[in-house]
Amino acid sequence: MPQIERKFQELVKRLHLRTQQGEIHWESTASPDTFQVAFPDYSVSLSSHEEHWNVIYILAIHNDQGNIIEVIRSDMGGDASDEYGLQETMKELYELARRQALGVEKVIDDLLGHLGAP
Amino acid sequence: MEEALKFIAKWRLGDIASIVSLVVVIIGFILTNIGVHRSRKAAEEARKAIARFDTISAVSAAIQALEEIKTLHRGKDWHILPHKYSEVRRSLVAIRAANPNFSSEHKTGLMNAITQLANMENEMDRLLAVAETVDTDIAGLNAIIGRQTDTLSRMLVEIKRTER
Repeated sequence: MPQIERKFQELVKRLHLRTQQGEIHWESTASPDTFQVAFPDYSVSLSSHEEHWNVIYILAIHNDQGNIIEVIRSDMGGDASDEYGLQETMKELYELARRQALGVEKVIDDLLGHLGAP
Repeated sequence: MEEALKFIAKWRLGDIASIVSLVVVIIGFILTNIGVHRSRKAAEEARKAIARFDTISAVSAAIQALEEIKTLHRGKDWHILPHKYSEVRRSLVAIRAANPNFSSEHKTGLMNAITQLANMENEMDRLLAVAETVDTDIAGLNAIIGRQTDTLSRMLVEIKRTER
């Protein structure tokens, strides 16, 4: 695997891990299918698109002016075999980011609170 | 005259005068250096105060501009908005560039606002390219802008606090 693809894979994995650990905080954006997280010098946005009946996840890296400087697609391997293992990780990351940005867990807790114990 | 010269030679007044001159020169040099150091320090303090004042003004202006964007959203003035997003984004980029020593938290807050505005500009351009008017979630857009305003307001308080 080329060096840059290896780094893309590592970046996705670490974002996934840090999101799971609650160390990074995703925010919703003007685009309903896009969520973003910022760091001191760069930011990352994650969006989902439907292409030929497949859902593709796209991770964009933004520079300090907000412009996209690199894009990582979940279908980077080019076929359904998910050669780089990105499809599954990015799908999970997208779901984690969406839930965190929209505060889904808190909503469910509130709903459970309203519904009372079984 | 000869007596005077003998007296000077006897008491080595020439040597004493040289030593005294040297001491005076050294003291003068030290005092001048202290003065230069104080002036430099004062100039540096003044430069920092001006830079801080510029930052406070720029962040306040950005907060004001973000509030105007919320009003434009409510008024559905869609065609002005891409320009407004870009204007505020550029001012935040300038604030960031002028303050390389900002804390990690401030930098992250600015980076977040910059990317949100870039995303809004792209999204609005995309929507306006396919229709004259935009059917979008105004409350959602204003919530995003509100979060950025809150971040910048907190930043402003911090900057003002460090001034004291």
